[in-house]
Amino acid sequence: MMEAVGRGRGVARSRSPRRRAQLAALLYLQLRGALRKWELVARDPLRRLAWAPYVASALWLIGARVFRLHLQIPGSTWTYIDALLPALVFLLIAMSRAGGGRLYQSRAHAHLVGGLGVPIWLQIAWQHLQRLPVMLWNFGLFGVVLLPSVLGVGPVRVVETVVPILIALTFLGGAGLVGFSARLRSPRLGQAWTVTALAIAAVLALPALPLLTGVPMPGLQPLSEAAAWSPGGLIVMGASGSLPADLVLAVLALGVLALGIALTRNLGPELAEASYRYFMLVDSARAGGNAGMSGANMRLRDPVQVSTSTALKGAGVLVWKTWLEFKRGGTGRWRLVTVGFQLLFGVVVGWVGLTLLDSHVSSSLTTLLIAGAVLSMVAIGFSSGRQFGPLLRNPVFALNRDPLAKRLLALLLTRQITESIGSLATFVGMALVLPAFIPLILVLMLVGRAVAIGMLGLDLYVFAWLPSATDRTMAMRIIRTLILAVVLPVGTAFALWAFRTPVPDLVLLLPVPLFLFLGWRLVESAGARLEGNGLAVAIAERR
Amino acid sequence: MSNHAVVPSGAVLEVVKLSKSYRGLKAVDSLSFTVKRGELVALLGPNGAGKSTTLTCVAGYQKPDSGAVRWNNRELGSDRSRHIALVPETPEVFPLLTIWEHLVFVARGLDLPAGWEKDAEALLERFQILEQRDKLGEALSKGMRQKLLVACAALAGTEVMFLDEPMVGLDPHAQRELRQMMLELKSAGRALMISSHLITYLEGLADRAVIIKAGRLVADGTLDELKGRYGSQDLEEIFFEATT
Repeated sequence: MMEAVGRGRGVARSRSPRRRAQLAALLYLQLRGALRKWELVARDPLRRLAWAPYVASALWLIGARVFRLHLQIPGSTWTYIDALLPALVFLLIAMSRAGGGRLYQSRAHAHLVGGLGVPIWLQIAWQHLQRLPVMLWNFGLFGVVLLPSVLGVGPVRVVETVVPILIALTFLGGAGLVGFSARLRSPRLGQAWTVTALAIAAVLALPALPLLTGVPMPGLQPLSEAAAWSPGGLIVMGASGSLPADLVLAVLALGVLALGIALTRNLGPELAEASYRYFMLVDSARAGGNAGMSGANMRLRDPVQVSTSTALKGAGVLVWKTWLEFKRGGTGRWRLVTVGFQLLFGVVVGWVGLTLLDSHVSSSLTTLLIAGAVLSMVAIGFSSGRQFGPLLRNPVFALNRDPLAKRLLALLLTRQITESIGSLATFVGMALVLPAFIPLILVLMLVGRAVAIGMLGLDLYVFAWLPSATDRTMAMRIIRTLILAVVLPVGTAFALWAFRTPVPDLVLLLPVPLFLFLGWRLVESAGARLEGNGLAVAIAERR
Repeated sequence: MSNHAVVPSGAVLEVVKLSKSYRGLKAVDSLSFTVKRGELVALLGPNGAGKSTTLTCVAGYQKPDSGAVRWNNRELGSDRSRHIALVPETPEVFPLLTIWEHLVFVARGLDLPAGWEKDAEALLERFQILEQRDKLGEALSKGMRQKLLVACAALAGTEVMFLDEPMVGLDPHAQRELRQMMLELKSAGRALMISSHLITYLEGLADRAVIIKAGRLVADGTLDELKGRYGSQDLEEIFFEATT
């Protein structure tokens, strides 16, 4: 692959026929892949079933349009989004450094498409082009035909919103390439990129404080003006119908993209390597390991001084195994930094909560905040994309006296504990600022974990029926949307009711047994289906 | 050598009319064979003959479409992976567990009786990986992973052991040790089945050979029986005769 990419450097002979051949190969790959996907969906009843919620949501929206049903989204929601968007864009720029070098969709793409020696600019152009049909289809169906009527806005407003978002995606893609190039030239430069972007994000978030707290802060006015002219601010203006804002954003996006392409034009092998590394990280994270720390191309892990042992037996050894993986999964310094950030986040959340308690907030904002808490609990609980295959095809995992369901339950429950360390830090941060609310915070922690266990069970259950990673990602996305659509209003209404009772802490605990029972039954059921068929399911997961 | 399971005399692994298809393509087609206690059977066949599918279906790693697997006249259910240890062709280990911790994992998971540590150390010594006992799984080469999985399967002490291409990736010393270990397991009463393309390696090792082609059984018998039937002098010739 490296050789093939290397061939592309400085070769002047007959470029046009070669480009045509490369484009023809890419087109062939795209069309064949799309056709195969349709064939697989058409042939497999389970895959057809996975599309059913998509069709159902389209039908629901058509029904809503026919009967002129409108959703009433509080106007204040958009105000909050507009205020936070400038900071969000820079947060994404900070994050884009890590994924910026990921040019290819899969290992096969990195190996074979990279091997064609296609120049970077053409690959990026091709990536944008290949997304176009699906994007246009979804935009046509939902953006033009259905959603405007349901949301009570016209198609013009939808177009005005979509255009700056698309330009912003191009801008972020270009920024990712620049960030990748910076990291490649010097790791310190890469770190400086992230720290600078995070610092700008923090500064641009400040003008949102008066809105959130209801306390006027005139000193932040200059910052507010600066945020309005930041890329995020331009998106807000563009979405409000400002054509000049769209144009400025487009010039900015094209400039950053051109810079990114110029900086990475000779980095084909490095981009392929970055893609490989990304796939490895994804595999590691999905397999339940700790992404960012494992794999041959990652920083070498500290060697183990002395192997440990355990007194746990049967399925219990998985508790020990998960603990060892957690302990060795990350280096101490980065784990401490992450936990520190989470603690800080908890303090900020607690402080915002305290400010809100002091100022008399509107009932709509209270509802919005509670809905946000419910949303975050459900969203954190979702773990779609986790791979179970590596475990199921591992012969060492099979050498155990206990049934598969019991082993899976032990594994998922233990992972819940190790994965909850971060949120524990956030809750501790909140408790530091709001000591009077410690019982309530503990209850929220328990509810969050119970929801996460229920969601993990659901993820495993879906995996047992739809093992293919591609199918599952789509199926889980649809299921996630449906669950959010049901849980969010119900959960918000329940929480609002609970806070009106004399003992909100106890009332909020009510859903915990329900989620735990749900999680347990789903794992049991999935285990029964997977027992004795782990390898077949593991193979299917790779498809 | 670990010797945990008491294998009843005369016990036999029976595979009856096993079939498995992948999207309409028959990988294994009504295949029947037996592996007796204290017997080592070579499973042979060209690429794509269905050897690995057969082993993984019998060992309980994937469900066959039809057929039965019996051990000592008792039908084994989907939990048969706990009676049959499989060393797969692609060695998968836990990246964040050390070599020794893999053995702890197996011993504690199967609740092996006290004293298993000595067996485990002896196994690592035989495969010359005792000194690397604290090395993480992710740092092991393919050969070392293969050795570790053979050690795990041997420590588990299941009545039946399947090895799919066990010699691939092993150094000559480990190949010799594996051969010796298989002979010891055989004399300890284990039922063993080995799939391999290294026919000469199996020549002096296997008691019987099961040869399959396109998922179907084409020959089954002791080496002497097969030599007589095909008029060939060695197993390699028998293989070519049976599969062409």
